[in-house]
Amino acid sequence: MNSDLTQLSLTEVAAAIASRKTSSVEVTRACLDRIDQWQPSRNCFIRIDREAALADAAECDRHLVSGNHPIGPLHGVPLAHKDIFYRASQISTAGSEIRRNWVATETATVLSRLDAAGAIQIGTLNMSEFAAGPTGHNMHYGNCANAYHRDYMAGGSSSGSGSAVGARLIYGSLGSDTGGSVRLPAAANGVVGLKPTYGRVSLHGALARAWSLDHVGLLTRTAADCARMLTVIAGPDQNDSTASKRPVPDYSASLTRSIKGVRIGVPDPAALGAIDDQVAAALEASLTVLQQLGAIVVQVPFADMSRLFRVAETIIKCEGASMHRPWLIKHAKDYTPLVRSRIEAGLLIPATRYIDALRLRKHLTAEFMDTTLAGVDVLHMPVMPFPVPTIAESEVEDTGDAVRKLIARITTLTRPMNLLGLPALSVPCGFCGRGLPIGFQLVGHPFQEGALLGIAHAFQQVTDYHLQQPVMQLT
Amino acid sequence: MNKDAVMVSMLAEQLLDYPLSPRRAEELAAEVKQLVDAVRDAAQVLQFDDAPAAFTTLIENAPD
Repeated sequence: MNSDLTQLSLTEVAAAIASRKTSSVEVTRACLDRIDQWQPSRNCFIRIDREAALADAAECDRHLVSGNHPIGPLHGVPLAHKDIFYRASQISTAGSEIRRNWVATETATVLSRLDAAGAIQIGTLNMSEFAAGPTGHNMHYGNCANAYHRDYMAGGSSSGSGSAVGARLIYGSLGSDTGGSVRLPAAANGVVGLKPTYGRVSLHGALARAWSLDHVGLLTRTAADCARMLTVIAGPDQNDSTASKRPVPDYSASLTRSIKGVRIGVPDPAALGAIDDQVAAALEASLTVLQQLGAIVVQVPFADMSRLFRVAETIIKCEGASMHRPWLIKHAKDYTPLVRSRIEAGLLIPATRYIDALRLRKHLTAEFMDTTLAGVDVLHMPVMPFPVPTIAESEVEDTGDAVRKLIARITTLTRPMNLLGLPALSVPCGFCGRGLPIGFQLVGHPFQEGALLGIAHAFQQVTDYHLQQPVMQLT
Repeated sequence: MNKDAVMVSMLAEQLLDYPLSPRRAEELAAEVKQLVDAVRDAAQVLQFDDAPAAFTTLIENAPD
């Protein structure tokens, strides 16, 4: 076992705690020590619950010392989550000024399920204000920086989740994804990021960005870690009528399947718009690896991504405007200009167009499944069309055209999948010339998260991108 | 300001209780037009009785 406990994966550390090769207190202390080293330069955390986490870890250890079995598959494992998930009697800021001191009265279903599986929560993580930005900038709590270099953006809106998992501060994290907010920070920080099928994971107790397109997702170091956490959090919920009643498989079991003969669809590059050469090369190399593992790669016709993007954008803006309008009137100055500007347009879109956008989802999804996904098991495409930019290059309050265009392009390949409700997984597959991670995106059929995780796991058995880790800069 | 921007400016003042600059009103008018036009064009396929909930039914009933 690695003597530096923070370098173990979630499944490895869970096994070490369960077999009492180490203790939850030792693991939690190791994480807290590393957080102390990295937090000043990365600003991943909004709140660190040091004493509570150590107390919970000690309780986990006493449970095992008394001869009991582990509480669940995450017994004693330290996690931390985007500060958008409610826990009764605790503050949940959503990265906003308006909710800086707001105390939740109920606990998110996903947090309750992680608790029941024995996980420790070590704190709450930085995020874009009200989950409304793809870069990780936050004027209220400070920008969250990339795990690999403090001058680069972490990606958003689950910025703290991506950076903290990438920097080995925690073993896994919940995020939320309305247009790419799990997959983008996952790709930017070299970790696995899953947006499950719409309805696979309950949304109860997670502050909404746009109800129709919100998905609770996961950021982990490996596909196996992701499978372990998804099995815990997925499933029906009496508090969320949108949560699917379909049974939850053991996603870890899907990891052992061979990917020989799996059909991987690759879109015509022209359909994706301009893709940076370094990103294209990393994706091409990853396809070669998958082919060597026996997968069959075929080119597929691809939907008009800009049309999907705009229909999704209409829904996000209208739902966001409905939700935020009372606060926009009362607390306009407490919103940063970018977030305010993202909400304003939704007030001006006719209600009939918003409803048309919702009615279109069935048609657009059916068309996508009948054409692009027909005959293949998954799609393989970029997460972000260019390498991770610096924090300065993506400064959200810069009103210059170049920056605005760059920010708009960040979500062009992720947001359509929120409209279609399909599962999508970001997997690390290389590094750009500046040393920042690159990821590929797998998109699957509804409720086929196991297929995505199986392919990612097979890829990670023969590559080491997920084992690379950032080095602290001393200057 | 163009006609759309004037309308956006008036609507925004009613809905938000704060004024928009002429430049912002023009930006918003262009942004809204782009989205509304995209949905209008895509909506040609809609049938009279297509309901929003048909989407979740489609997803929920997808084969394993």
